[in-house]
This record gives sequence, structure tokens and C-alpha cells, in this order.
Amino acid sequence: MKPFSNPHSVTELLEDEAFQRWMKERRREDRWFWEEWLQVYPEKRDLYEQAVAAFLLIEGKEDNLTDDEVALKTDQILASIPDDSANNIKPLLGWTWVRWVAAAIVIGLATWYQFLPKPQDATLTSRNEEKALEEGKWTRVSNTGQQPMVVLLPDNSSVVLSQGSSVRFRKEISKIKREVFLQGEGFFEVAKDAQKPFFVYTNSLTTKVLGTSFQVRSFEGETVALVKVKSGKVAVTSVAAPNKPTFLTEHQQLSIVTKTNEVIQKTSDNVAENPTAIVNQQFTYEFAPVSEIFGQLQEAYHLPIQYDHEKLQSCTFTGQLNDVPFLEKIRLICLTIEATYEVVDDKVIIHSQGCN
Amino acid sequence: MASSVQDHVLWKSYREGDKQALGMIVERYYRTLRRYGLKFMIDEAAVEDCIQDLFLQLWQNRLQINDTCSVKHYLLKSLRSHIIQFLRIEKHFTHQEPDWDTALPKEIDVETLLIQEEVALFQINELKRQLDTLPAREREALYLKYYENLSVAEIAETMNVNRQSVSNFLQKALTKLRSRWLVAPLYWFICLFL
Repeated sequence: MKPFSNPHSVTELLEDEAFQRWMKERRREDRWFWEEWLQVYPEKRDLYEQAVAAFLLIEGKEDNLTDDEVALKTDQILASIPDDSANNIKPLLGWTWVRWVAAAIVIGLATWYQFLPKPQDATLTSRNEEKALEEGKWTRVSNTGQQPMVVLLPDNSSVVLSQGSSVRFRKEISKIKREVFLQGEGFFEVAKDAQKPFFVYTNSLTTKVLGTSFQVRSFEGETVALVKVKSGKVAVTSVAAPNKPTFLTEHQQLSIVTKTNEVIQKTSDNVAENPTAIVNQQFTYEFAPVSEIFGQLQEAYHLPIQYDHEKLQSCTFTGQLNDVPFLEKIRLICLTIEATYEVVDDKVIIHSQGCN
Repeated sequence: MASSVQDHVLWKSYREGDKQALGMIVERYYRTLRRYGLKFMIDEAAVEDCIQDLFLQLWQNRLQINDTCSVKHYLLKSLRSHIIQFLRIEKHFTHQEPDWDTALPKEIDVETLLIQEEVALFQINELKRQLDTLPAREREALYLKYYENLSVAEIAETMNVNRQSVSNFLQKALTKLRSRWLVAPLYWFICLFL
């Protein structure tokens, strides 16, 4: 143990190695040391307390792994490193290099694609022909009905699909990204997963997000395609300029003239336009009867919710469900009222023992 | 310090192709790196991926990697650039400065720390008010200085700014803290006599 130091300022104490080690590791022998220190210098108690407070603030939230967890992570990292210590050429082909080439190929392909002659009636399927070939792996849902319908995606995100619109998506979740091809109009509520960005492709634009809610409109016959954000942040690229994203945040919208692929505006959203549209609806509740909430959800998502009215009579919910997909809304409500749910034949069934 | 000698030895062995030496470096600095990475407000899995990438790259480029006086500083600096790259690619944060997590410790063991609870809570809340007005990069400089014990030159290199800026960041942060430290005892004085 080093001799007692006699700091004159809080910063001096903060810079003291013994103090730092004490604060970080809190060993018992260090505690004895500081206890004694405070007895030798009672007038420094103030200084000590301020330094402790400052250190805790600078350190912030603690989130320590156990030794076992660290050992496990170390093993994982070592396992990911190829055993080629004799190979000296490898370093030249480091990851950065490979990544840049990959990026260059993607940009190259995108640019090449842009200059391909486009048939007048280019449809979503022809644009992604090779994808359509593996149709077996894809699900296609079209809304031919008279009202919007909700489509539940495999990753628990949801789309409210307008009349005359369709979406296509992988049956199984891909490990790298989530992709949906849209024709027409859909309101998307994306489950949060920072590891797997969520892409919505249409003929004229691509929207990329990590977890948020927004509306995309791109009907074939219409001259303008539109993206409107309800919450979170999205990146929109027009097909004409695939590497020039425009970022939209809450209540912003972007339109693209489909003929020329020209971005024409990025204005603030006017909620008054269509207050009943789901993109403008609020799902914020304070002690709201759960049956009322189910009523609103039923109407917004056009999906019947079945439950025992009598049992749910005294159940209420407080909180906001704006930023989460349909099933997540249901799950969160069920969690609060200690109920369970299942999705059967295009309806949601709630099982509850009631609330007291 | 004994551990810096060892760091130096480990670093040399790793550069000569000893995978176990790299493993020991990982084990020694995993917590430090993870804690720093999490401050940038990205999720745990992403931080862990960045750390893994960092070591993978270190291994693959070991023939080009130089000796370093501080392994810790080298690793923190590399992790930061991996995280910035992650933010650029994954989140399209091109012009923004990264965020900095200012959340407080979940619980404060006042008894172990030899402080009185009400004093500690008062001090912490008042200091927090001051520090919360600082921009993210100044909080980061403060963290690297007083938690990771990096020198001003090392902080400048890590955060990719010049030394003068780091000195300015720290100066500003400490002025905020000091203004608090001058007022606090007065508060207790008043409390005692009311």
C-alpha cells in the first residue's frame, strides 16, 4: 500500500490511482485504507465525498460481466479467428478489403441496374425476377377486399395493407435482413431488431428502417409515390439514386414523381388531412378499459379480436403503444392484464381470468 | 506497473503469431471495451460484434501492427473507430456525433463507499444537473480521463480531435463540477443553521 497522499482538490483525488482502483474494484483492504485515510484527514471528508459522487457520475451505469462470461466471450472470439498462423498472405486480404470490394460490387450492380432499359410496364415482380423464381420461399398476400387488412410478418412486424395492394415476404426470417416487396399502400410497424434492418421495396423507392412505424404508398397507376413516418427514423432511396438516401423522422413525408424519379418534397405531415388513417392515430392510454382498446385496435387493423367481455370488464391499461407492431400491442396489453393470446384463422383470441 | 509490462509482452507475442497471447489480451480488456462501447447507446449485441471484429482484424493485420506504449489505449481507440463505422453503415449517422450514455449507476452502496447516504444523493443529483448540460463528447473526454485514466494526448487520438480541444472539453467539464463543489458546502452550512 502506498503512503497516504494528501490531495488538495477533487480532481487530484480523482486522478489518484489508488482512489480509482478503490472505486472500481472496491477491495476490502482498500476500504480499510480509505477508512483510515478519512480518520487521518477528517477535514478532507467533503472532498472525498465529492470525488466519490463525481466518479460515480463519470462511471455511469454499471453492467459488469462475471469472470465466466468474460472467459466465454474470449473463447468465442478466439474461435472466430481462423487458425492460419503460418499463412502470411492472409493479412493483405483483411476484412476491410473484402468489405470494400463487396460494397463496390453492390454499388456497381445498383448503378448498372439503373442504366438497364426499363420496360414501360415494369412491375415489382419483373424487377425482382430472380427473387420471384424462388417463389416457394416467399409468401404473397393481396388485399382484394373492401377495407384495409393487417398482415403479420414472420418477424412479428405488421403491415396494414390498403385495398388493392399486395406484399411479398420470405416465409422464414433471413439472418441478415428483413425484406418486404410492396405494391400499393401499406402502413408498417416494424419490430425492433438493430441487427436486421427492415427494407420495403417498391417500384420507385426503397425504405430502410431498424424499428419504427411508417406508411408507404406506391400504386402502379399513380404518378407520385409517398413515404410518411409516424415514429422513429427511416432512410428512403429512390430507385434512380440508390446510394443517395433521404432521412425522414417523425411526422415527415417524402414524395417521388414516379415517371422521372424526382424527389419533389419533404414536408411536415398534416394530421388533419385524414385523422382516421392509422398513420395519424394515437395509441396512448391512461387507465383505459381494455375492451375499448381492443375496439380501437380491431378497427385500425381490421382484424377481429375475440374476448370474454364480462371477464375483461374491470381490466384497464395505461401506456403508449404507438411505436410497436400489432401483435406486440396485443402482447403488451396481455402482459399487463395477465392474459394470454393466440392468433387463429385471421382473428386474435384473448384468454383471460379477469382482473381484480 | 506490473500489468503494463505484461501487456507489452503479450502484445509482442501476439504480433509474432501467438493466438493464446491475443486471447489473454481479450480476456484482460473485454470488460473495459464493452463498457466503453455500451456508452455509445448501441445495443449489446452490436457492441460485442464490434469487439469481435476488432480482434479479428488485429489478428489478420498482426504483421502490420506496430508496438504500442499502451495496449488499452490502442484497443479503446480501435473500438471507437469500429463503432463509428458501425453507426455510419448501419444507422446512416453520417454527420452526427455519437451519443453518450449518461445513466447513473443502478444502486449506490453508500456503506461500502464510506459516505453518508443523503450527502451522496444530494451531491450526485447536483453534479448530474451540471454534467447533463455538457455535450456527449465532453462527457466522453471526462470518462476517458477519470475512468480509463488516459492522458490528454491519448484521449485526443482516441476521439480523433486535437489536444487543445480535449483540454478545452476537460476544462469546461471541470468548471461545471467546480462551480458545484463551491456551492455544496455552503448548502450544508445553511441546512445546519436553519
